[in-house]
Amino acid sequence: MATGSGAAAAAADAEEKESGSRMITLTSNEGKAFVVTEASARQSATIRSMVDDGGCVDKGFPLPNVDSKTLARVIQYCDEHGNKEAHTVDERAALAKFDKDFIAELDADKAFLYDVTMAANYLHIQGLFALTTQCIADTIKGKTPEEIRTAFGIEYDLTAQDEEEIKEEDTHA
Amino acid sequence: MAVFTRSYPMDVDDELADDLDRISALPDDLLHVILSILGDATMVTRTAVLSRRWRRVWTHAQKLSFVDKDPKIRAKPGQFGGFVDLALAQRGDANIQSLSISMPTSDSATPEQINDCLRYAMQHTIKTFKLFSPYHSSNETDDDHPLTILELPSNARTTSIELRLSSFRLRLPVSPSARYEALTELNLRSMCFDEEEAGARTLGDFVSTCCPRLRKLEIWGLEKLTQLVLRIEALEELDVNYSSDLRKLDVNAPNLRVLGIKLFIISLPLINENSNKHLVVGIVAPMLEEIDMHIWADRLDMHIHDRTSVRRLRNLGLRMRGQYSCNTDYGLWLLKNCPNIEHLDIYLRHMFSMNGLIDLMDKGAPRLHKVRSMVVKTSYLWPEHRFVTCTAVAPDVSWPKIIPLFEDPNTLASHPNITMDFLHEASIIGFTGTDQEMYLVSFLFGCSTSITCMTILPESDDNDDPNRSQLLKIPFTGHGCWHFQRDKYTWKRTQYEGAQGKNCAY
Repeated sequence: MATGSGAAAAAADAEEKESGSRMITLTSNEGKAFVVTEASARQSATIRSMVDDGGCVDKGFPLPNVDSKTLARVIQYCDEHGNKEAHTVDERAALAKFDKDFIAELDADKAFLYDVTMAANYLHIQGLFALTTQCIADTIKGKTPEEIRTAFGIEYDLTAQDEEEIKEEDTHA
Repeated sequence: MAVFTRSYPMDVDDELADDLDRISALPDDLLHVILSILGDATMVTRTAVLSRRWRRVWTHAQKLSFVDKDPKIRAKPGQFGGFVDLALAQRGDANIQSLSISMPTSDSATPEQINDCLRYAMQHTIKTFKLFSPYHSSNETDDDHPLTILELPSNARTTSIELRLSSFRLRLPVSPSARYEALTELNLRSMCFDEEEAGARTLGDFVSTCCPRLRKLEIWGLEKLTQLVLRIEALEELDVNYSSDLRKLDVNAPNLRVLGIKLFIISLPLINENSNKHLVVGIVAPMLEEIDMHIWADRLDMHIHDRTSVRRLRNLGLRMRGQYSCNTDYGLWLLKNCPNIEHLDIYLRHMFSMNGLIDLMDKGAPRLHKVRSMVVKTSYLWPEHRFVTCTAVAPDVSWPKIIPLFEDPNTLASHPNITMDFLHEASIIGFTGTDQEMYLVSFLFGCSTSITCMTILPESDDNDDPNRSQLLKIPFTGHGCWHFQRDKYTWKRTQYEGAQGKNCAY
């Protein structure tokens, strides 16, 4: 009995140790496989709950809503946040710097920024989702409607009737 | 580590995609999140004119914050209120998670508009509603200029409400069926009540009867609130502050955990033989864990039943001596009558210059066997007495003597027998390196063999602060190391007991 429970405990220990370095395969909608550490994959609440539910870790996780280019960029974020420590001031500063550079690069390519936002939403990667939505909100902040249209490439398609309505609303505001 | 190459060449398609209006293709839910981050209602509503796609997206934004930023440039009184009304009207029946409206001047909105806002908010706001109304510069509240009345609607779906209605009178719903079913937090500030009005509902009756889930109640600076009688099953936290008309606070709350009372109910001038402002406090709260209390009243009757559950006393004012001291016996009374205190945070208020050692044992304070940590604060009431704030964390404090720290180092020197055997950590704030302060540091090292950590926050941020070399010379500091940073000096005891630490600094 004693040896039995001892062996079970040892097995549990081994599993515990292994889980830190376990690799997980994520597959994009184009069928491309990405192998990541479990720590990296756990940045996604969606994948985390599938792993914890004893899901198909060995078979990998197909992600039908995410293309390869977007997934690669999302994984770049998850690797940084999942595999690195954030205990000391320096470590946190390094992560903050990573976030800043990461979002600056995305901000320059708005279409890609939306793809990453959608993926972060779908995969429930809270930090990344907050980062990208904040970036989009910052683009709107403090701008006139015309400036916002230019920033996002929004086409002006309001009809005369819309304009009349807006004028009506404006006189009250 | 991911085992794939991470290079992202920009191809021509991406450049083209940039010109397409991809943001408008995002799902509404996502756009609502983005608009909620913006929060500011002027910016959020402005998106309505971007394009046809955007005309109504904002009306489902889950967070709106209306702030009248430039009241002076608005032409007509009530114009800001009109903007708020119109924006809310455009939302139709859509619910909102969080709504806040802030009006800095009395011209921002008319009372009718504010009442409209209140009605809208109680019906549609799910989580948080905050309303800050104008503060009138003229405080005329005579019969010719009665305060404008605002009415709280009979029903609300909101979980958290904060109202600061300076210079308004709040009328609470009188309907017997009034219900604030979802309300868990209520914060009321600065408004006036008229509880003598015929048929009016009192605040105590309103929260006790209409708010069955209320867990946290905070009131601050309420006028004409003479009594507060609370019977709330769910209430866990109660904070009653600066409501100087209050004469009776009567609370029966079986789940109350935290009680905060800050009240100054005194006649002026301070020394008035006939002072008669009388405050009665009665608390029945068998689960009470924390009391944060500072009361100053001409006469105080306080009854707190069953204090065995109390673990923390915070900001406990002890007015030590002097003929001006008002009825502050509640401080010592709480110390004596809360047998299970673990954390004690006391504030020594000295009304008069005094010399010598304050020994609370003399005043009948009990041994507090269970206290695990203690913070003692003193105040500078007289400029010639530089009190030093001293924080001590000492397990198993058996009511150590409390030492007022005077300019005159003889005060300490004349009590050579003081020991603090259980002192582990000490911190000194605003250290300037005067002889007395240096003496205090030596004293703390000298009276305790258990000290493991000392933190000093110097006033000077000079890297050549001469006090550093002084600190290094203090006996006993050789058992550990000083670490001098620009704004913080830390001494830590060498970990291995027995191995004599070197007197080092870096």
